[in-house]
Amino acid sequence: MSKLTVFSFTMLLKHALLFFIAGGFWLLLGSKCVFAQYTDKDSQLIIEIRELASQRHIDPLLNDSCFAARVAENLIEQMDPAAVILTKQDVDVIYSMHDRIMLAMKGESDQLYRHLLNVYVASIKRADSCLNVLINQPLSLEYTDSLRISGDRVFFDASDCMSIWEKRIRYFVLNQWYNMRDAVDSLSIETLKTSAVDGLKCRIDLRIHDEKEMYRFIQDCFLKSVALAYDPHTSYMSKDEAAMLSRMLSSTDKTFGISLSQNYKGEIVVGGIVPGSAAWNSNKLNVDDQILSIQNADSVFDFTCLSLKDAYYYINNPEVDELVFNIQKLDGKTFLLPLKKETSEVMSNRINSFILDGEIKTGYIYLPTFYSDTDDYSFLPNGCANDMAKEIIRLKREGIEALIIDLRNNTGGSMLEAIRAAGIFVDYGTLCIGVVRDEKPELLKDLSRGIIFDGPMTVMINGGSASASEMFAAALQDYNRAIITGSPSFGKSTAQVVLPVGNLYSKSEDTLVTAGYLKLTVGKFYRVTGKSHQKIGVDPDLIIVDSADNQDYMEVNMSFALSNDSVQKESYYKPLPELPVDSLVHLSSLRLLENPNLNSTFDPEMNASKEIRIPLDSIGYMTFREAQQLSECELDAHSPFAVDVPEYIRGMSDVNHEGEIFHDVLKMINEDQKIIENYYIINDLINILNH
Amino acid sequence: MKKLFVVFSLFCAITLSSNVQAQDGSDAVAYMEELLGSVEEFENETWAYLKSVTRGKSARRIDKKRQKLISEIKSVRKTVNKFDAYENDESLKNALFEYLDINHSVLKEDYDKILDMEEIAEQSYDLMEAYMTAQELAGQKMDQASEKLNQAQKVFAANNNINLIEGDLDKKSQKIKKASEVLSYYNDIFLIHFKCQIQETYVLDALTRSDVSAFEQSKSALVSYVNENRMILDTFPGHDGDMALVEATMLMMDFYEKEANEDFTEVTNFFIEKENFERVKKQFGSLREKDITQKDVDQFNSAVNNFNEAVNKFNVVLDESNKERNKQLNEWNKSVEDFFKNHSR
Repeated sequence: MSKLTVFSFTMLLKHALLFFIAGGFWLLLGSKCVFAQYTDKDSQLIIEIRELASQRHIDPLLNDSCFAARVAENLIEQMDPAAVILTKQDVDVIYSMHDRIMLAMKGESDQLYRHLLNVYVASIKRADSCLNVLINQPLSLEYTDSLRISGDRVFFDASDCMSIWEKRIRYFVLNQWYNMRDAVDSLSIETLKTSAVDGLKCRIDLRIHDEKEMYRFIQDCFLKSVALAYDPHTSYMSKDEAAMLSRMLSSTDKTFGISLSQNYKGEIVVGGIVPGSAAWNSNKLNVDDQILSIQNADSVFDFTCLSLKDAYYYINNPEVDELVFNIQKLDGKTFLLPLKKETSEVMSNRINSFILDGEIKTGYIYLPTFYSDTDDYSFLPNGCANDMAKEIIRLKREGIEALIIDLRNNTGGSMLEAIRAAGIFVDYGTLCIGVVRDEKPELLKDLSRGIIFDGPMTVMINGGSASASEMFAAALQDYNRAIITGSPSFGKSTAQVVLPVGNLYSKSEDTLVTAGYLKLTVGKFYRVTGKSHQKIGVDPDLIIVDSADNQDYMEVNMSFALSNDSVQKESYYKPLPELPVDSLVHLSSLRLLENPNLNSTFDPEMNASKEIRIPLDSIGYMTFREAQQLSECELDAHSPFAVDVPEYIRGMSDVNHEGEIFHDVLKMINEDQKIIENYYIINDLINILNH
Repeated sequence: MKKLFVVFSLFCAITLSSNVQAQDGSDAVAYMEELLGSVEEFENETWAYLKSVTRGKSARRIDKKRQKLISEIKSVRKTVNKFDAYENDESLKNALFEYLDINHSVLKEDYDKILDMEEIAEQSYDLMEAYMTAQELAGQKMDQASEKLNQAQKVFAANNNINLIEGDLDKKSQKIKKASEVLSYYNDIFLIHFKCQIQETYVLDALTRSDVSAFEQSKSALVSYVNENRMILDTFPGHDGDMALVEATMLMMDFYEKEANEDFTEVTNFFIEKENFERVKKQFGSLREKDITQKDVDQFNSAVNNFNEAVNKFNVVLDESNKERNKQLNEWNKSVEDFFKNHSR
């Protein structure tokens, strides 16, 4: 037996735990530059990052010229994620810095940083001066104009500065005006304008710090740009960022259990959720949800214009124990979420299961991430697979006949846990194929043979289901073990490890000090068939989509995503008899014809650089917003099931704070039309199999 | 615990070569007789090894015989190596070499010399299956080498106008053949039992690690194996009409089935009640005193009672199960000893 091969991917899984736990929020936090602390040895970091990547990256780039072009592209995105500050001319200047970038990658970075700094400072000053002019000009919402919003980042011409910023102001004003239209009279437009300009200036002002700090910002952007040039999941995090994250995830201090990040628009969003924490137990938060504001008994803190650092300050404040979070989902829906800080102790079980009690008693398990508590490959008592097993045993005791596993917006996590979880439903055989550089492909199996649940089941996925959750869905699909429903998944089939970089000896502390961390893509995984879902995602057996499913944050739209390939390897897997997918599709599509909110077809083009033109006159804007609201209708139809919880927790939680949240969750499940459709699909499946 | 033993395929080849008549070319006959006769001592050692196995000698003694047999193969190899090719024909010598090498590897359990163990590991789900597959493939390799040697003898004889006549086996060869058949039958039964026995150790291993997922999965796999084995045993023939081993193995299947379906279910209950209790305890602890209702108190007390009951059952059931396992295994081992005793005279 080739012990070396077995060892290598096992080791990858072991190391990968560190990343996969933190996977989702690293992804986002790592893509945004912060004002970090650097030493004069920073240039060594670039060389070390490149050396590590050349030794271990699954698909290393050798051509320096091509690499420099990628770094330039990343620099532009890092410096101006929303494409609002830099102009076409600025972008051209940065692209022309090719030679300086090449030199910087060899450690001679100062010249590059100075040039980038000049471009950046000039662009901020230009934006600021335009806003200063506009704030004194009257604003009309009557003449026809539009704002183009697209997945493509388009930079404006320097000569268009005034008109571009005016469009943005009008958009913010209209947005506020529409939301408050019943309470606002015509005179308030000016107030809204002042507020909008203040907000925009605030975000711009955030970028203007003293020159030293700006220099550090550019350095950070460059390090991140170098890492991201390999692929979208290779990233760099400074020591300060890592420490900030670590505080948020502390298991000894009381926390809300969320980490923060900034999305491409600069908005503060949920970067990650700690399993078992207050945020986790709310069952309402997902990675990428925007935090609009937080409030306590005395005051409200607006998060729409806040640096990441300040946002962390408010949330980490030890004097604050309870907060109400104003959350906006990706589909625009907002809600208030009260949370109380708790210690993120290792609880015995962090999965909540539910019973959909109708014609067919069906279990429902929602899993936002494949969490794990340990890096011990052979012993995982607190991993999510073990918790899932216990919940299924409980559900079986309650007499369930079928199961729905909801992996929507499950951003991944521990691959090992996902393999073990898939093993709960697959009796025997390879679940996926792992590949690391310079090694033979390795067959990955659940270490335990046998199954816990053998009834009919569906797995719900969407564009937010990534990495380990895609592996889980793909394995169950390839074995004909479950019907996969929803929209195509994210399309990430790579694995990463986290490595400390820039270790330096500190005389004062008499120890090695780490400058930062590199998350490096060192492996790929494939389906048991040898095919990959990289860049294409897992195709559901049954498409069930709504308007929120057309998001463009998918692997295929990410810069420098690794290409889709396949692996030649006998995987010795024996699928179960085929499921009656065609019949189920037919029955489901008939139902969806009657449902104005759900669709049984998915247009992949919708995800690629979708362009929206938002009218900037009051009538046009109102029509636009009303049309958006019409796209989701309230249905009168009753849910075919009542939602319940397993017997042992029934009742007690009704009286406390958790109970209120629990009640909301039950209601949410009962009203979720995709869950309802999955319930019908399970019914269909059982009927077909019985006949 | 009894184990799997090596069953040899050499004896057919020696038997075939034991009656050689020459039409002409007496040099070729002499060469053939001398070359194949060099394995005579190997035959003696083989019998000594088989005798120790089938007559229930101690593991140490069996191993000593195995080591002696391995040394004998090395010695025979040296002797064979001294033979020249017969008129540039090395085919018979090479076939004998290959046969000796495969027997040597199997006896030493050096499977990676004769099998692609990496491939076997990938094909197999776990070490148990890899072991069983390796045993099966090693047996096939031995058969193939033996058959190759037979063919090489026939070809050599035909090329040199030698007339091979199959005769009766000599007394020792008959004994070896009989012992091999007994061992082969035992091995088949052993592997049936072995599957469940190893699967049971996986369940118990998961129990010690409190790995509920692995415990439940391994438990369900154990039930599957019991069902599969029962179907095999239902039609499994006796050895010379002796069904004792089949019946003893059926009793083991009864034990594993009861253990999985009843005893291990109590273990699962323990895991679940323990966690239910911890969860209810946490929720109860988070209630403000003024909010606590009688219903909450009842629910908390119910969780405590359920947990205590599960703990008691867990202890009792595991203790009884351990005793029953020891008893059943002793009986199975005794059946094996009796089987060898009855069939090795």
